[in-house]
Parts: sequence; structure tokens; C-alpha cells
Amino acid sequence: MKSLSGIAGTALLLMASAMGVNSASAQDATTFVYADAGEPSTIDPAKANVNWEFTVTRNVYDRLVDFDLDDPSRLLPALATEWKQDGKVWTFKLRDGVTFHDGTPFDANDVKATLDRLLKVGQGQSYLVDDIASVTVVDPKTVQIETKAPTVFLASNLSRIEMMSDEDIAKHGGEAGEAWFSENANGTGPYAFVAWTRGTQIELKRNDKWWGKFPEKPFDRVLDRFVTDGANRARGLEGGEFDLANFVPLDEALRIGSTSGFHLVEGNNLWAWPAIYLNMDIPPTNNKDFRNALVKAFDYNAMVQSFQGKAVVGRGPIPAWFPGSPEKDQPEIKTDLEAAKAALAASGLSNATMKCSVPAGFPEFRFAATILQASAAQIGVTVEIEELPFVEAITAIKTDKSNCFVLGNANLSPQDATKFFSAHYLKGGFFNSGKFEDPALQELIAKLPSVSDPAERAAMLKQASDIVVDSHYIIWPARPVTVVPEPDRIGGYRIDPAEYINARFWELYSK
Amino acid sequence: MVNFLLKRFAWGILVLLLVAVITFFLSRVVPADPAAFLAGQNASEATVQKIRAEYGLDRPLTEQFVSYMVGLSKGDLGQSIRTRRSVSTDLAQYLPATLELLLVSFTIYLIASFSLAVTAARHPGGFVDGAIRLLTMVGTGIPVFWLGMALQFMFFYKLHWLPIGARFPIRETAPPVVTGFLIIDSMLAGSPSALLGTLKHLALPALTIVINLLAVGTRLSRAALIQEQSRLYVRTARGKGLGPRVILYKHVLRNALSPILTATTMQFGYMISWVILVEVIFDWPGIGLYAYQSFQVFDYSPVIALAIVSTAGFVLINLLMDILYPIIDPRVQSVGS
Amino acid sequence: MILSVRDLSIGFRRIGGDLPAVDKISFDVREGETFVIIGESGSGKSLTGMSIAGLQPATSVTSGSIRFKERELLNRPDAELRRMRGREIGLIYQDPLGSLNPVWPVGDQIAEALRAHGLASGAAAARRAVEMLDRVRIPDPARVATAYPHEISGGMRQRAMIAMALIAGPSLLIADEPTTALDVTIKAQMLELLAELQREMALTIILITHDMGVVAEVADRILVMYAGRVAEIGDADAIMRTPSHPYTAALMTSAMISEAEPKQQLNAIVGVAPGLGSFPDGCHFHPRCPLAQDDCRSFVPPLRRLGDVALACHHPVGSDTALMAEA
Ligand SMILES: Nc1ncnc2c1ncn2[C@@H]1O[C@H](COP(=O)(O)OP(=O)(O)OP(=O)(O)O)[C@@H](O)[C@H]1O
Ligand code: SF4
Ligand SMILES: [Mg+2]
Repeated sequence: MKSLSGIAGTALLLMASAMGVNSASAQDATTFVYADAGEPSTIDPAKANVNWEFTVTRNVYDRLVDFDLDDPSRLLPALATEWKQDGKVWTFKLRDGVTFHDGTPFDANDVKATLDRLLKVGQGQSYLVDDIASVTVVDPKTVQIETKAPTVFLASNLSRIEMMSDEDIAKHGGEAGEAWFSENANGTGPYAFVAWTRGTQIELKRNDKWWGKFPEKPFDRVLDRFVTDGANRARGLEGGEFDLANFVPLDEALRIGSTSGFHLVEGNNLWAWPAIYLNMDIPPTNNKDFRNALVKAFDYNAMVQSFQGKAVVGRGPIPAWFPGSPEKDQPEIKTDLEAAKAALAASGLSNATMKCSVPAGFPEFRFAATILQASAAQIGVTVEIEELPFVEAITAIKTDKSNCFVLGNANLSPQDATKFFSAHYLKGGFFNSGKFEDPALQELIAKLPSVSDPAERAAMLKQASDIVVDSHYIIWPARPVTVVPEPDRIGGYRIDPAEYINARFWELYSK
Repeated sequence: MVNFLLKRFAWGILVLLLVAVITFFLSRVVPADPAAFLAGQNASEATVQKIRAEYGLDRPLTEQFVSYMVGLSKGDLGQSIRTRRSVSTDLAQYLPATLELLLVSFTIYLIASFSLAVTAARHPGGFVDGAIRLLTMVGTGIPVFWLGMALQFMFFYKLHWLPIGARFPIRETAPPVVTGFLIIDSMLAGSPSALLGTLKHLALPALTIVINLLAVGTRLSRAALIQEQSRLYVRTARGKGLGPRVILYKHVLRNALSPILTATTMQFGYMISWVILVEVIFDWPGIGLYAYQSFQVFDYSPVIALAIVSTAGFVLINLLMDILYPIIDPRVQSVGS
Repeated sequence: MILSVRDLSIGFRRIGGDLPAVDKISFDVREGETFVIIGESGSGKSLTGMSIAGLQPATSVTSGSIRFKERELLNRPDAELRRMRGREIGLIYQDPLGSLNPVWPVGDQIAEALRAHGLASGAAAARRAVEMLDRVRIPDPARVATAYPHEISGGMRQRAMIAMALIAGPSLLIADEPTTALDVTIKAQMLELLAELQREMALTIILITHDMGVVAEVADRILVMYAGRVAEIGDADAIMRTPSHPYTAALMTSAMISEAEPKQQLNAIVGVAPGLGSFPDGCHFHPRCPLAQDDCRSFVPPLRRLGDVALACHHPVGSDTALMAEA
């Protein structure tokens, strides 16, 4: 017994002394630790489609063009230095002296190989450029892209498309080798892929041969950690374990931002969070007056308050910052119980009951559904809520087993609203779960890319937006402001309005 | 004995098969579509269909089942849709982390529960006994996740003594992977600082498991010891002039070992079920976290594999117990001999 | 006088006061004799016997005095008593199977008694254990030494217990119903063995039993206990010939009635012995005593001499006058 407790005692002592020498402040200024909300399924730019995959692809690869985060209507040169549209044909002049991390030079062949592969694979962000018909190498520094129909948005959509190496694609592409891209990366970007420790982190190192300009005191090494638990990301950020964290729960973010040593970076990157989709095909939600009653009854204030005031109520689908947004010219959407009751009376559907399927795992979605339930109850409408896994929830409304579905939405394209409208409001769109259809809208969206005058496009966008608003297909409970707590020792973090939480490591620096 | 073990082994294989069958069909009951997850939110239906075909998800259920079982019989645990690798590769990667955590926790648990139970049983009803009983009672009432978070809050957030999660200090370079057990790999690399870092990261998740195990384990062991102490052979031992130490360690303990072992097997079972929670709380890159993340995107194969692996763990432990019982207690005949 | 017990009380704590299971008993044991304690179940025989070796239950409270070879044993620290157990006082028990540790070989448990007192160690102790098994007439002692308790017969187990009790050379052996669990032929062999060993090793034996047959065979002197008190004590022959205490007399009668069924003997007395905590006032035996009178119900009979015996009875069997005279 003596020996046993002796061992236990020694072990405890060892542990205690070990704890004592632990120091959370042992930061080396050249390594940046990012707490990401998940582990990538792939780091293949042709397949990446969630934020924690973009964390890697956006930093390791470059795109042909960039855009001004503060004014998305302004495109900036990146791998391409000049571009011009001539009807269906776009011509891009490529930057000189760019090399991939493996040393091979970047040229027009890489662009062609990348886009050909992307469209063939048809996953990830390919939908943004699915109107490309062909890619032609004019000379090593010039590439021509022909679209199926004239589109002014091609360049802005290419600001999301990462350029890969044609040698890699030749070597690792095709049916057999595609797997290589899932866990390897060779780009031209500001950071190079070093290693992926499964379950733990992906390590990147700074590419000092990058064509772009780093700030002073950039980070030489980036560790993209996978920290699935939101509270852990918050605690770790606050405790100095992490330098920045992805998706910190709002209350934690506000609290951390108010402690000394931290400040908040705020910005808008969501179109709606959440949006409530109503089923256009089955009663009672197939009745326009009924939908109108729900829109008018909804308690928007409650939703804004749930975001601790860090939200606005949208006037339509398109946020104010978006180039050509009609938001400022649209009427406010407000709770108006009298109007709601009148609309309900007009629908002739008093005492109606409806079912709402909510994807599980999103407290805000659930909360919005609960507000809808309470608001509807005020006008005598019963809402039943069922929480289901995402695919089940969206299938429920698509197969008419539910009247309503809750979703958050954003738009990856900095200038092009047509992709968003297609997915959400046009026939066959994946998220058009309530099966909204409007021929006029269809026509507007089809025509929009071919219109070269921005003012004319803005007018069309307003019409399109009004069609959706007036149909009462969607209830937009709130458009929250994204709040990111940044340690004072770090600078340069900016919120990309067209991407839900981004990390441009190349803009970050230590103070 | 060999015969008996073979029989037990065959039985174990049967159990594993059953678990594979049940989890296979259970997982397919959920109408979720992992292919949609792979394709991305704006992929066309055609792309999703292509991926379904790639993973065989478009085939009839019976066909999927047959090919899964055929693969399984060859040791093929299938493909993970989320990690895009074979489940076996993933398991090989994540299993050492889990085993390291389990083995360290269980060793600490064994030593601690043993010391505590013995201390309590030496003077039943005494102060130490009372304190231990109170502590174990409190320990039983605390849910694992709550305890884990409380420990994080205390030791990471408030005291800055220990890290919040993961297996190794973030900013340090981990020793080269040889065994996958960081304790061993650190030692192989001859790096005391790596070992220290590893131990620090192990401390909280292990403590979470240990505290939860201790509560029940100490109580059971204490009860077994106290019950054995009232046996007649203890009076005989005293009658010979033996001291309390010899009586406790040579006579009582050996007899109490069987019930303690039974309790320990049960505890091991609990531990396997807690490991998922603990790994999620502490971002511990083991098979628990792996299965949890796979489950979230309806990636079936890793979930079935986890069920099979943990069942295999159970079967092995039980087999080990069957071998151990007759050694501990000569009255227990090994069933087959 | 090897052992001298005076006013020994053994009680158990209960809410509302201690319950005496043994109530102020006194007796002497002479060197070399076989001293038998007899009485019904629950009369306190085992408590008395075990308390001599300091093995009474930890929950009990004791008072009085137990002097063994001029040394006071009662309420001595366990560490001191430990040195005496096995070495000077040996013990054997009623249930040899339960009294042996199931998970250690028999020989090892016997050798342990030597090791405990530093009398031999390792292989030497093991060898002497085998020798001792031989001395208690166990055939093939080397094999039995390596056997586990459940692998040998009941008679062998009790012999092994005797070997264990005597291997360290005690002068006093306390045997608590050593034959109760054994069948008749084995029982006789066992008593014979004890008698032989007594001679060979100059043992004093305290034998606790239910069994009048055993008493007749081996007893030099007898202590009859009833409900925690001494009923009668004295020379075995004298008591067997003319039992004076009504309880002893009843025991003898019933023994004759059911010679073949020793287990039944004590139950042949009308009524049941009172349990702990339900002892009646006055003489504990009065509810079952055919000779009981009014005084028996109120006054505890004191222990008085009557020839070769001493007894506690207001109205002994035979003449009242004899007793009066003594008083
Ligand atoms: N540990 C104990 N706790 C409480 N009471 C006890 C304990 N041990 C013995 N007793 C009580 O003390 C009384 C005397 O017990 P003891 O074992 O001495 O009887 P006994 O005469 O040896 O009977 P038997 O022939 O059944 O062995 C009994 O009534 C018993 O209930
Ligand atoms: S004292 Fe009275 S009751 Fe007791 S034995 Fe003697 S005669 Fe019987
Ligand atoms: Mg007894």
C-alpha cells in the first residue's frame, strides 16, 4: 500500500509541478493559430464548399481577380492584371513571374486546366462559373473565356475560383488520382501547404515569393486548428491559445470583445440568418394572403433582440452593401398585427394549422420558428415545429410534408445576384424548397447578366427583389451583423461581405 | 482451455457480425443523404447522383448490405465520405489517440480506486471512509460533459495551468509518429519537453474520465473488500497471528478481486461510451470525435466501424476476464476444461 | 491455572443501552486439561472462547478479566495479542471450509502461521507444513499441501485446520465446535486425534460444543452456559453422574433420548432459548424450568459451590437443604 500511494503521490506531484510551468503566454509572434470550426473534408479547390475548407484554399491558391471588401463593385487585379468583356468572350491578361509553391511557373495553361477540371467535376463553387462554354489559351500570358451567353459577372465570379497547376492536374487528375487533391495543395497563394495532421490541424507557411504585398510583420506560419466546439473556440481565444477563431457564439464574442486586450471587428456577410421559406404548393401556405398574414404577424423585434441588437431587419433578399442593391428604396418590413389579421381574414383561413421543419443544430433557426409559432398564435394560426437533420428537413418541405423550412443564406459572389436567385427563387433551385415560381422573375434573372449598364441592372434587381417580397414567399426575421473578436496584438482582420466568415491570413499582422 | 477460448472467440465473432448487421440497417433507416453533403450546397442533382453512384448509395439496400458484409469479411470497413479515405486508414490514424487516453485514464483509475477502496475498507465507517463515500456519491451525480467543461473552465480558463484541448501543445512540434502513442513517441524522440506537453494535454480529459469512473468504481471495490473482510477465513487468519496488512493484501484482496474485476469490466464499458463525449469536449482527435463528426454528416461507415471496434474491445475484455477469473479464484473452473 | 476468567461480560451496543450476550462469567482452566463449554445455540460459548484470543467481534464491548499464564489479555492492543495468537493460543473452528481461504493452497496457509511469528520462512516453512500435515495423520501430505481447500474432504480440512492451529506450538487450543460439521466416524477420529495431540504436545484444550456425547468422551471439566451466564461448572464426572442444575439435568435427559441425533439434543428441552435482548428477569432459565418458583422470576441465582461443582440455581435438583446449608 505504501508503495502504491507513493507512486500515486509522486505522479500527482509531477503533474502539479508540470502545471506550474505551463504558460499560456508563450506566444511566438511569427506563428498564427486559427481555431476553425471544423476539419476539411477536402482541400481540393474544385470541391471545397464549407468555410473550414475555404480557410485553406483561399490562402494557398490565388484567383484571377480580387475585389475590394469595402466596395465589392470594385474588382482588383490578382493573377490577372487586366480583363475585358466583348460579348460572350472575356480576355484575361495574366501576371508575369508568378510561380506555384513547387516552383513551376503560372501561365494560361493553368487557367484552362483549372476551369476545365472544375466544370467537369461540377462540385463546390463550380456553379458560380457554370455559364462558361470554353477556355482558350491565346498565349502563355493571355487566356480567353467564352460564355454560353454574354455575362458581365464572369470576372466577379472568378474572384472565387482558385487557380491550380496544369501539371498537377495532368499528373493527379482523372478518375484514379483525384484523391491527391483532397489532401495536398500546390497553389500560387500567399501561404503554402505544409502538412495536415488529421483530426488536429493543417499547417501553412508563408510564401515569401508571393507576387502580392504582405503587411509589415506578417505571420510566417499558420496553424489552422480544428476545434469543433464553439465554447472551446471562445475560451481558447480568450485564454490566448488561439489568435483568432471562426464562428464564436455571439454572446461570447460580445463578451470577449469587451474585455481588455480584445476589440470587435464587425461587418455584414449574410443575406439572411435565418430566412423562413413557405411552401407554395400546399394549404394553408399556398394562399398568398395567408403568407402575408404570417409576414405581418412575425415579431421581428424579438429576433433582433435575440442577436443582442446586432442585426437589422431586411427589406428584401438583397443586403444594402451589395452592388445595385434596391434595399434603400424598399419599404421597411414591420410587425403589424392589425394588417396581419386583415390579411388572414382575406385569406379565409382562420384557425389554420401549419407545420414547420427546422434543420437541427442551429439555435437561431429554432428560435425563429418559435417566434413564428408565437406570432402566428396571436392571429389564431397554429404552427407545429419539428426539428430534423438538414437533409430530412429540406426533403420534408420539398415533398410537401411540411409548410415551412428555415435556412440561413449568403451569396459567395460579390456582384452577381443571379446565382443566388436561381438557387433560392427559381424553379429547380436547390434551396427553392417551397417551390416558388414566377415567369417574370425567371425572365429578369436570365436577362440580367447580359445588361451592361449598372443602373439598368439595378432597376432590374429592384424588380426581381420586389417580386419575391410581394409574393410573401419568404419571411426574413433578421440580417445579423457578424461580430469577430480580435486580440489587440493582432491587426488586419476584415470581414468579407460575400463570404460567411473568411480568414485572409495574408492581410493579418502582429502589432 | 484452448478449446474454450476458441469457442469464446467464435462467439465473439458472431457478436461482432450481429453488431455490424444491426448498425448497418439502423444507419440506413435515417433518410439522410451524405452525397448531398459531398457535392456542396449548389451542386446540381446530376452531380449528387454521380457521387451517390461512386459510393454505391444508389444501389438497393440489400445489395449495399451484401457488398458491405463481403468487404467486412475481408477486413474492409468501407469508405468515409467525410474524410474521403478508407475507414481503416482513418481508424489506424485515430485509434492510438483514443487508446492512449483510455489506457492512461484506466491505469490512473485502477490505482486510485484501489488505493481509495483499500483506505476506506481498512477502517470502515471511519473518517476517510466517510469522506470517500461522500466524494464518490457527488462524483456519480456529475454528468461527464459538465465535469469536462468545469475542469476546462477551472484549469484552462481560470488558472491557466492546463490546455483546453487537443493532444499536444499547439506551437510546439510533435515528435515523429512511430506508434501514434504520443507518450511513447515522445520518449522515443528522447524529448522530455514533448513528454511533458503530452501529459499536460492528457491531464484534463483523463481526469474527467477518472473522476466519473472513480465514483462508482470505488464504491463497488470498497463494498467487495468490506464484504470479504467479514468472511470466516479472515478470523482464521487473525487467529494465526497475522497482521492487518497481510490479511488485507494477501487474503482479502485476492478474494475481492473477482467482484472488483467484474465491476472493472463494467467500468471499462462505461468508459468506452463516455469517450465520445470526452473527445468532443476536449477536441481529442480519436475515434470518438471521428465517429461523432462522421455521424453529423450521416457518414455511415465510420459509425458502423466504431460500433464494431468498441464491441471488439468488449469481447476482448470479456475474453481476458474469462482467462483471469480461474487464475484469481481456483474454485472457478474455466468452463471448457 | 493456565487461564483464569473473571466477571467476563461481552455486550453489543444498541440504541438505548448495551445488550449483554455474555454476562459476568468466571471460570478457570487448568494446565493440560480438556475444558468443555456446552450450551444451546446463542448462549455465548463462541463469544467467550473467541474473546480469550481477542477475536470477539469488533463491535462488541468487553469487561472483566482474562488472565492467561498470569498475563491480562482483555482489551490489550491487537498488535500485542497478535503475537500470542497461533504461537501460544491455537484456534480451530466449526466450519473448516469457510475458515480456510479458498484462493490459497492449504500448505501455504499452514506455513503462514510459522512465517507470521518468524519461526520459519520460505521453503523451510513449507516443509514443516507438510510435516505437520503428516502429524495430523493426513495421508499423502505433500499433495494435500498443494491442494486448495475445496479440493479436499471435510475431515481433511479440519485436520488441516488443526495442523495450522498447532504448527507454531501453542500450549492452549481453543476448539469451537470442531466436529459439528463432520459425520460420526470422522468425528470420533477427530476426537481421538485431538486426544493424542494433547498428550504429545502437552496441550490444554478448551472445547466448545453442543454435543453431550463429546462431553462424555473427552471432558475433564465442564462449563454449562445458558443465555450468557454460567449454569453449572465443575468436574465432568460429577456433573455427568448427578447433574444438579435443572438445565444440565434436562440436557442429560434429552441426550439419552436422542443419542443418534446429537443435533436434536438441545432442542429436546421444552421451549426455546431466549435471544439476545430478550433475556427474562431473575434466572434466565425460569420460563423453561420445571423447578422454577417465584423467587426464580425476580432474583438472579448466585453461583454457589456444591461438592465438586458450582452452580447457579435457587432450587437445584435433589435436596433444597443441601444448598441452604452451603449458604
Ligand atoms: N457480531 C455480533 N453482533 C451482534 N450480536 C452477536 C454477534 N456475535 C454474536 N452475537 C450474539 O451473541 C450471542 C452469543 O453468540 P455466540 O456466537 O457466542 O453463541 P454460541 O453459544 O457460540 O452459539 P452457537 O452454538 O450457535 O455457535 C448470540 O445471541 C448472537 O446473536
Ligand atoms: S434458579 Fe429456578 S428457574 Fe433457574 S434453574 Fe434453578 S430452579 Fe430453575
Ligand atoms: Mg458458537
